[in-house]
Amino acid sequence: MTFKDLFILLLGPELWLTFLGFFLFTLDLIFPRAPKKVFGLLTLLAFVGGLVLVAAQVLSPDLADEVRQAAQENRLGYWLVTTFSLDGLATFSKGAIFIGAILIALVTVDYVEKNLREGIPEFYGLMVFSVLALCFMVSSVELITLFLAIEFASISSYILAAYLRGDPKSSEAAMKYFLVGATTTAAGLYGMSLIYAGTGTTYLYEMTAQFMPQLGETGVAFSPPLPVLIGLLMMLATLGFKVAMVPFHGWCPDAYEGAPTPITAFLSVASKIAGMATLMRVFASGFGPLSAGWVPILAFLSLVTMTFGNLAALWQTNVKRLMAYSSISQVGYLLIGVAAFSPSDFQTLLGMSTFQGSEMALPGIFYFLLGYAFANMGAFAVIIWVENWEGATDRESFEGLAQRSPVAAALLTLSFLSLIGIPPLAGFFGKFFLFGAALSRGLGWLAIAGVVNSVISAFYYLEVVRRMYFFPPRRPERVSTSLMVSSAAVLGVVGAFAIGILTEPAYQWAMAAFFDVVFAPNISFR
Amino acid sequence: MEGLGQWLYDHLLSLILWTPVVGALFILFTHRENVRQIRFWAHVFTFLPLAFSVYLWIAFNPPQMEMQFVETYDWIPVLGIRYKLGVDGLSMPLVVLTALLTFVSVVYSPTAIRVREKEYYALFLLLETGLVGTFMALDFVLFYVFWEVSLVPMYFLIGIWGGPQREYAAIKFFLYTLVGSVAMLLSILILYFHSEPRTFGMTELIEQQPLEGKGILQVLAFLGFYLAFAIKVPVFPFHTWLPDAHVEAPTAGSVLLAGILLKMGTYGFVRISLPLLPEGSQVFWAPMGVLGLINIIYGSLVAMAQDDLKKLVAYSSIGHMGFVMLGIAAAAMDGRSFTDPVLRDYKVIALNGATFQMIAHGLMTGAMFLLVGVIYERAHHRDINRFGGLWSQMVVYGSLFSFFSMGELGLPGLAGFWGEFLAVLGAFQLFAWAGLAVIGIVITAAYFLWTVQRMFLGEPKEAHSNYPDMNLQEHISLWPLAVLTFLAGVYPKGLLTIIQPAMESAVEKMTKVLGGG
Repeated sequence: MTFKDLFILLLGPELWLTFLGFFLFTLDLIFPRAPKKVFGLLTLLAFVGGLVLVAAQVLSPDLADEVRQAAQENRLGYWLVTTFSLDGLATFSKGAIFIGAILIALVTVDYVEKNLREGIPEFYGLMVFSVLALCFMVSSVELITLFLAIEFASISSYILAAYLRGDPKSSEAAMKYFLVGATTTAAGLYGMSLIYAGTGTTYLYEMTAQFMPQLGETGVAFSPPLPVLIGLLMMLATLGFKVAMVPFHGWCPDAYEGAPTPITAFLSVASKIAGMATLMRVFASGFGPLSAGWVPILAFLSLVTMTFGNLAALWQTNVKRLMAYSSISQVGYLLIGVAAFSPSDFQTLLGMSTFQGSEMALPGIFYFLLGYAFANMGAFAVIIWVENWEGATDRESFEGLAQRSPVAAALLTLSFLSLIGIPPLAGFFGKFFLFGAALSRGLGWLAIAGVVNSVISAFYYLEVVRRMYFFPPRRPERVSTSLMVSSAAVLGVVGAFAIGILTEPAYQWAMAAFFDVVFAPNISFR
Repeated sequence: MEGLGQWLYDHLLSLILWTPVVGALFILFTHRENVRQIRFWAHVFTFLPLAFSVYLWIAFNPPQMEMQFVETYDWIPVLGIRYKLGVDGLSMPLVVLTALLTFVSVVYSPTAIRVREKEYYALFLLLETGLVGTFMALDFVLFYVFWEVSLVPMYFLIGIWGGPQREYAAIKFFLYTLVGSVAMLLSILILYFHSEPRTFGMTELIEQQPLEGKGILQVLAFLGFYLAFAIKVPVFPFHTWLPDAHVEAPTAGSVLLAGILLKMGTYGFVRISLPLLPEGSQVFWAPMGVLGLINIIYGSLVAMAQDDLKKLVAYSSIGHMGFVMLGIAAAAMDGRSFTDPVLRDYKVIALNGATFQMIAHGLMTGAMFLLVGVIYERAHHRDINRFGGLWSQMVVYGSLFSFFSMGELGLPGLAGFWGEFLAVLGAFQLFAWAGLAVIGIVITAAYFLWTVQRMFLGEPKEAHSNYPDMNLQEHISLWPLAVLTFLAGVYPKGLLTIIQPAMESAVEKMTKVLGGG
């Protein structure tokens, strides 16, 4: 294969999104009278195409070998293979991001028609570019590239959050989002320079290669040199901002409430998947051998994040805001998996010790993310379903929904049950793996905190369910919606069911993603 | 034809388990206005599992100690999680009881449930699957799945069709149970990580005894399970959800709550806590016994103080479940009780009593809640003191009510006697203070007789003169329970021969661990 072929294969989804993004921006100039729905459908096409291309990358078994070989033979630019990786982590996250993005595109069309007057083509264009940025984020294996991808994603999101120009809440949302984002990103950039000072490189795998030999001798993780640890923690600010981890969550409730609801869904699903994947890449893969230094910190942050998110969610009266705090708490659960990472996972997977069945941490995170994406999208689709009809997302709008639209109420209930962690929905198995990982790593207290939090969370999710089922309808008329929104809700819930019952293939895929990340350092570059 | 019959026989448990879900799907695709058809499907799809489970009872081979009708399929092989079902003398009667009580509840429901019937029957069928699955599952993950699945429909049944305080009762029920289940989940994971090779299989784990001699870890795992089961039973002081849930639930919901859901807890103790964590059980045998006694005496005393008939029946359940806990405590008792074969036999007797009591209580309390529903539909209140002289106005109702009251208070010759008698007999031989349970029996007799006296004897009241006696649905739902209560009372051997081998097997497994020293 020539460089050109490989390049197109390697960057297929990204090239496709770039093309369609620009096409959306220019289409309006050429055909100003084109119906606005066309833009929505093109966006949907962009994401479906992206998913197909990722699937093709995953399913073509030769591609990885081909890339590896081409890299060794110097046929595929050094600059490319050292900055952009197509390992299991990247393809899994891209797959999950595209699944989320497709569902988001489905719920966007009606919402845009109802709420936006101008700038519609750019709205869709920016959505495509945001997803493009997220794809780069999860593939970046070099700090400067990573920084650019994060900035690209953030700036697109700032604009999208501010899109409801008539609504001061939307402007407030974007402003807070921007200020917190700018600060934490600056901190992250400074952290990267500290890391460079400590290690002499910006390539993540070179850092792993530096630390690995020391791990090999002693077999236990060790604390990194202080500048590197400080730099790592400053990078955690950036990534923590992206996933809304306490204490970098301040923007989250206001941004979720004020932003257009499809963008809220985007921030809570696609953006969060990319953030978590990057966090895992930096911490578990890049700085994995140093885990003794950062595991206690992340374990503590996990506890604080889930507890804060759940306790604050108890007092919310607006469902969009409730989803913001709920998504903060879900990040807390995900961080259990990162904290339960141990460098012995490396050794197991490199064949130094046998598989124990207790290496649930990283596959658990991937699985959890996928389940979370489905359940959260199911929930947001129903929220938009109600919002398009009622014009509001306060809890009162959901009263008696079970009789005004039994399907919507049932779908939202099932999504919430998955988020609580009731089997056989995906949310249960996600928590099962993560709590199991914590227990097997001597983090029993974190597992206990996790289950206590699950019980607390049941209360506020069921508060909405209670209003939907136990209250009389506010108005007699039924709440109907378009086929697109309802199918997004159905797909979300069916997805949560499907990967809950077909746990094995989903878990296997998540395992594959994990293996790849850990094996990636074996690729030699020069 | 031969092949099909064999296939059905091999998948009997799955058939019982999944038929209700099929029924729920049928109902979901029926129009909500078409109430007749919805009811028809509900009747059909609760009758089929009942018919299958009667066949299960007939085909069951009592002397066999191992699990029967086992079905095993891989579910998540990478973690050793399987879809494994099986029944023995402990779970088989509970499966049949579940199918029976669900059926009679559905038969009874049309007289009481008039709104949102589509959701009602769909949830009811889903509930049956959850309950039956809990008793059949032999893999811990599968067990947990069904345990939780049974929680959700009951939440809605209480919350939508319940009494005035229904919302509070529903969320209280849900949160209490969830606290217990998540604690159990952690215990399950601890067991998994100490097993070698890794497995979630119940029988495999009991064989392996992964936490044997692990001291504090075994105790912690025991406490995790204890919390889940004790809340479900409920054991004092975890009982406070019960009066709310039972009183506020619709009649059919109360029947299943008292008849089956409480047994999930006691089933867990006998199936899991005792044989899998014998050392942990042994540490806590005395507290379990004392709490069992408190259940018996406290539950009965509080029941006596009730004027609300439904509350009275609810608290009587707390008392009756105390006898089960007493039998379980006797089985867990330490000392030389495992080396002495005579004392070991008393353990088996106490456990026999406990399990017999589970079935008997399910039959009789189910019937009592139905009877409460019958009078509530006519009087629209449940205040015992406002009734009086009903027997002459509702002859059949009065007779049935008195019959089941006699059963509840433990009259020899009816089902209630044998469970209490055997549990106390076995426990008394092991620790004499179990004899205090007799106080509870006396109080129970007192309040049930007093209730019959207040409601049915004395001068007939004018206000009740136009109450019709029981209608056809009420007859159909109550008579099977009455017949079985009588049969189990005069011929307890029929049930005991089924239960006994499973109890012997449980005690034997404990002896293997504890009998050595």
